[in-house]
Amino acid sequence: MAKFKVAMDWLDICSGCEMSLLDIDERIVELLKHVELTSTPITDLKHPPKEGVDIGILTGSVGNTDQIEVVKEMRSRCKFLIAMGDCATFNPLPITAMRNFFDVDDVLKRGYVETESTIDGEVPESEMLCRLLDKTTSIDKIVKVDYYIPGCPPDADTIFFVLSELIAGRIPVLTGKNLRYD
Amino acid sequence: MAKIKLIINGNEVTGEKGDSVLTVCLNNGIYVPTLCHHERLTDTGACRLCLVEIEGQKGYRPACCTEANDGMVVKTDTDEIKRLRRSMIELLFSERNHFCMFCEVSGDCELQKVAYAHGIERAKYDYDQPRVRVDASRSYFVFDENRCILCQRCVRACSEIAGHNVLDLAGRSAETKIIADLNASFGESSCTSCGTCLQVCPTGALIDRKSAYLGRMEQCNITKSTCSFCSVGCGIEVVTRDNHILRINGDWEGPVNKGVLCVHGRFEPVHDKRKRLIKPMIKKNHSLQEVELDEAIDYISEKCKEMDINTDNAIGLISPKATNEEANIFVSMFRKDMVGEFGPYTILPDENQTATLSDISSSDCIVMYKMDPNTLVIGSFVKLAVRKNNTKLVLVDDNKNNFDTISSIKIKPDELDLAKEFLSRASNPLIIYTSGISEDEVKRLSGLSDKAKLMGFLAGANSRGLRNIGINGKIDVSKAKALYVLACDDELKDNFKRYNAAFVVLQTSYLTPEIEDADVVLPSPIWAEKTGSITNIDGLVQNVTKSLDSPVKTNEEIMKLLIDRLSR
Repeated sequence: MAKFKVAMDWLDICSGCEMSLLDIDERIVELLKHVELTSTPITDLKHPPKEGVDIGILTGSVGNTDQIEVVKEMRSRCKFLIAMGDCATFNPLPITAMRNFFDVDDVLKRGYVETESTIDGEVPESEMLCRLLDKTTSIDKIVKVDYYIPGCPPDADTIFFVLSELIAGRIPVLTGKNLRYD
Repeated sequence: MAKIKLIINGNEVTGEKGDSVLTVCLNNGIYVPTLCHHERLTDTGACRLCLVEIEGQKGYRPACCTEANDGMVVKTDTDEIKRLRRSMIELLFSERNHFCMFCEVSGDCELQKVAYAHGIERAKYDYDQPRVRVDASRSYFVFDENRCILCQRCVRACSEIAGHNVLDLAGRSAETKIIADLNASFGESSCTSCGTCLQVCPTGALIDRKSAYLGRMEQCNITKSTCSFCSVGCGIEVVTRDNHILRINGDWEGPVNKGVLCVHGRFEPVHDKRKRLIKPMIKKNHSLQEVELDEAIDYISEKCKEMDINTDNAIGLISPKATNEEANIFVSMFRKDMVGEFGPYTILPDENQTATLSDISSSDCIVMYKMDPNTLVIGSFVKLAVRKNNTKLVLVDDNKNNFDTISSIKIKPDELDLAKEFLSRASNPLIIYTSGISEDEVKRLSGLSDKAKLMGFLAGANSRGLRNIGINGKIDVSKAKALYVLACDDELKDNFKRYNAAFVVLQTSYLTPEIEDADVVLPSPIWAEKTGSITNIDGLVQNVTKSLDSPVKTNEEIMKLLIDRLSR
């Protein structure tokens, strides 16, 4: 049987979700018999392959123009899109969206000019750079999301459960300790 | 009560006339999610989660505020109801900043629980992200508006069961907020920090400072016990983890307080910063030195022989924080008339005039004499009587009093006769006073009315128990040659004096400057480390149960060792 192709990418995030994926531990060996991880933020290849994947997993919330492209690329190259982690499911989160309480210019000024350790700082401006969005937003405001895994981060068991069920051709139902927001 | 029959989800169930639809559902094991409902509080239908469909009635009704009638046909689990409830929860999440991952009550949160129960795996609606206040102006707990769902349990608990009437709502719709008084900060408001609101809050909007982030309820042990602060005898639940007290909750099943506590019972014992006294000490060369227990007991025994101390010249003072069991052993060491109560003494009225705590709620006129129990549970009882039953409060006090605003009249102690008119018009008058007033004053109070009952409010938790054992507060301590003070964990400041005694033994839980006045200091367990019973002001004997392991021997064990040694 051909392997399931899975691609991952991250947006505004702390990378806790990726750590949790690694927490699957030795079960990942069994998982990799059925799954090919084509690209992830923590492996060499970053972009999902052009020929597409079965499952795309995005973590984090959308905070800048580049991330909009990341989200659109993932959506166009995967059959089934999963939003994983509270930043992706309960956006906006204060961790990634604390800045939503402030004006975006003030945020940039605070970060690049007013920081206590900064001398003669300036807000970088270049056409090469992506722009911060006025407010961070969630993936499902940009593209259609097929499945949500909440949790900060989701338990390794939950991630394993979801992938195993999808491989077996079932849409997993999150209940009990698989459904957590913390 | 008349029985009624309803059909809920196609099954016939029974309830009682006057029940709400929600009560019938819950009593019959039918799941209806709720957030604003609390069994001790009046239902208001604030959260709308308990919506049900009732045949013949338009739309959906909140089950908590709908009276169940005989023959009603109710549906609680249609797809449409489930969809509505789910939306309601999603809207609650979107209104304020609910973030479980670093919330103190995550795992114990009722909002989180209903969301899990409805399989909500994402925020469907954008969060409003309002910038709201966090009020940390109170010493013991914090109000975080970010987590508030405006269920108003706190508002109702404050007015309906704690009687303080501090909290209310201000503003409209999504801008609505919980305020204290006329929008004062909590610390500056008339809030007494009784913490009843904290105990009923379903989310992390009210957070206890001490127990915050120290564990979820499933990781904790709960021990039911009785508060040792005053003679009301409130039922408490001591929440502990790894031999540490996290917090104290009011026991909803407490026969006297029914869940309500005061700041002195709920918070102060948990925040006690006094250093524990673990090892006995004896005075050598004018300073106290730590010794083993055997040595301390030998020393007492030697001194008794050397100084010719016997039951004719030794006086015992026992704190009303001692249990009945401790007191029984203590009195056996002394001549019956040589044991007294340690701490403020209250003269009790004649037995045939004595009131009980329940008389406060049934009285139609209360005279409160020279006391201000604003922060006590008995204060809650008086406030509730005035606000709920329209009881007239005659306040007799020279000073500014927290009950000024709710009293019908305030008079000076020398105009006491003015109270007579109020008392004569009442059918169940009650006069309350406390320690620090003279026998003459008690006589004047009891002479005010023929039908009035009197309550001499006892300061100590087991003052009544000590009296029942025959311990009298009024003994002449000044002539004692030797003094044995069983202070337990009581406050020594203002209470402990050496008088003229040549030899002083002090048994106390804490290392405080006052112990320097003693010749021998023995350790004592604190309230949470004891098992026994105490007797409240009404004579109700209630259990005190150990919730912590004690680093020291029990008072009973130490006293028995001493008795053994002295009788040798």
